[in-house]
Amino acid sequence: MKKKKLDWVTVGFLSPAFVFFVLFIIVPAIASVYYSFTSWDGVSPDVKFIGIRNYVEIFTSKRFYNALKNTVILTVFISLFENFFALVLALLVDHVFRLKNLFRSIFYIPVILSGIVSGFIWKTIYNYNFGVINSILGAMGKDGMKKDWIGDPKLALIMVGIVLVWKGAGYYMIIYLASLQGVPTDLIEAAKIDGANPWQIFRSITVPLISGAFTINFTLSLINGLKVFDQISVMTDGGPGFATETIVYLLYKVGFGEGRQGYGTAVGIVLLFLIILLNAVQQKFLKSREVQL
Amino acid sequence: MKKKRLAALGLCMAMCAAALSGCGGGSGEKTASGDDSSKISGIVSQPTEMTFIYADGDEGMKEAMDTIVERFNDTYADMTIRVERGNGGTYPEFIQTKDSIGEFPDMLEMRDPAVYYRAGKIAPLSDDIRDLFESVEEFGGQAYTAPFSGNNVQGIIYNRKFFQEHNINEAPQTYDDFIQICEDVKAAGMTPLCVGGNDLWHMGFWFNKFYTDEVITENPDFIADMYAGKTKWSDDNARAVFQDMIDLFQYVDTGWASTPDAQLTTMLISNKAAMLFSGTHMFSQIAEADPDFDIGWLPVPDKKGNINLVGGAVPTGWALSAEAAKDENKQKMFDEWCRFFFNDENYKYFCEKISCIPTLKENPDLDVSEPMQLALDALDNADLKVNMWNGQLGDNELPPEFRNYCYKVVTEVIQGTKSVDAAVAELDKEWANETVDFNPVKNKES
Repeated sequence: MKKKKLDWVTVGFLSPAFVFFVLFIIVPAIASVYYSFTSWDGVSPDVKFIGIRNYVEIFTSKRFYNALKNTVILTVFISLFENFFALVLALLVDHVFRLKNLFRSIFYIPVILSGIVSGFIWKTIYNYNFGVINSILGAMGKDGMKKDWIGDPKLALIMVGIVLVWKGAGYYMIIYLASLQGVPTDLIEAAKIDGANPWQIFRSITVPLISGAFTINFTLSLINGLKVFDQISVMTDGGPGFATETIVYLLYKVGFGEGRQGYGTAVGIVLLFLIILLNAVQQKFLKSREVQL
Repeated sequence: MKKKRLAALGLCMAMCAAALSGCGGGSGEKTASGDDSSKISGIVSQPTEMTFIYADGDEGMKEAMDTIVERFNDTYADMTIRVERGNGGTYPEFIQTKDSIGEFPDMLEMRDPAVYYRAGKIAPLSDDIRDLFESVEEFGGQAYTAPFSGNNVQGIIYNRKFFQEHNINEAPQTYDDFIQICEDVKAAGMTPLCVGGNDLWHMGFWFNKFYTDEVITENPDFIADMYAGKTKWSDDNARAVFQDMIDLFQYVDTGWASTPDAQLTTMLISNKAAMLFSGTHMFSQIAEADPDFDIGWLPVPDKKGNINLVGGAVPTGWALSAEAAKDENKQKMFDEWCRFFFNDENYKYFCEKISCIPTLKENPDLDVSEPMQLALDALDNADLKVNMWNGQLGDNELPPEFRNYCYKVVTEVIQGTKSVDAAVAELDKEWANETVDFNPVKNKES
């Protein structure tokens, strides 16, 4: 067998990116593993090795399990609703004959807003005393329905979830739309001739043929759900109390706000394994449902 | 096709021009300042520029700092301050992030001097700068921060017009009298109090008041005793703080948990609530938002009728980074900045602008508003003047992360998602966790 020659031109082109990737991704990631076994406060030059104490604290801490619970609720909520609305919007846009690009652009606008900006917008909308929702309810004489939308611990997490769905659905819509436009029209016409109704066509032809988009979208929304930060930071700061504190937010608060970089890094390592695990499970489930033409 | 190429070429040239003009911007700004001949020079041996970060707590602070920095840059020919503002609410995180990416500023507003002193990140004040102040907080026998404001006196800021219209004129002599005022306001159809619970630190105003009344009046070394294992959060006096919070919050606006501190001025001037418990810095904010708003101020007595106020020296102030202090010119420039900032003209302007308590041995004569004068008089006559519970140093210094954790638990207690019993038990557990590495009392003994 002929031995392949090293392509120095390729190596030359790849090496700058490779060096940056190693320096800014791989090295910090490895360093994080080390710091997760320390009690470093993020400021002091003294880094004390404390073994697995951070991990013991994580797995015996109510705060961590509360953050885990919030993360799971938020991730499931946004994975389901983002994809539901994205698919509905994609189907609507796909069936529109005029102004298709206009509708696509309108639904995509929230995506181009930064998380911080969208958080501020919705924080204003949700405001108890001056927000649009309560003002409308007040004008309608429904004062009893006024709520402290992001100040009520029972509502706050879902209210943040709604913002994430509003912001993210347009992005996933584009992927579904691209996939929908790849569904062969002859298959659909053949099904119509055979007497299939629109629901049967959607369930038996469209869904299997766009299942690749499901895999991509659910994977992306799962990962995005697990690392939500901006909106929580702006809207609730993890509160009220610990009601909207997710794992990523916990990591940030303890690492930077509370001077426990070592503990925060350990939370990050746990999150990393959580993402890998959940992603693997989801991939296995969704991949098995994909159909290739 | 040709048109497209021309357009692309034009675009490329425009981008290059923009990039080049960006590169040149720095030096352009310096020369644009005008005639340098009238400016002071010679304090530093060569042109020196320093980065400066402070917390932009409110519009008054922003305006005051922008003005004084601009005056400084206009006064000196060879010294320039480059400002970067940090968000007031997340300032400690901002500074820590700056440090972690190697952008710790040359000088800054230092809010956690104990942490940065232990890390060796800040330099001690020069003797002549230290001598400017009535009192300074010390670490290892040296002062590291130039305090620009004394402890912010906290009390009830209220709508005086509303009070007068409803004949609520008696100043409270005891805490029960204050609760009666809340009842009277409620009966008059207005929400008695507003609280900015969306900013966690704001919870500290009321928490600190009750903590001082219930705990500090009985045991000033409660925190030190916590480190020594002699006291607990589940002790009766500490538990009482949580019950006081629950009892008080029945008079607070329903939306308090999502109301940011910045909105409280609007709450007051739009008659959404009659009272606010906060610091004197709010006076200038309210006056700016509505010059016609009639501001009243009163202290809240404790259950025995004593007036316990936040007062005294604060650890927060201007600090020089240890790295910058290695450069003789930067050290000289920082000293000059302090002298410039605390001169009569600038410091008077600053104190009046943000309604702060001056800290110098020889303070400028301030033109203070009526409520500010009331606060200053109350501070003079207070039965107890004490630092905020999270601003104590030495044996009574809190573990760095405990304050926020505590406020979150307090929020849960007020909202009824956690009982007082569960809350104090959780705080005792959290205390044990956080003091494994941070225990000034045990560290001193060992």
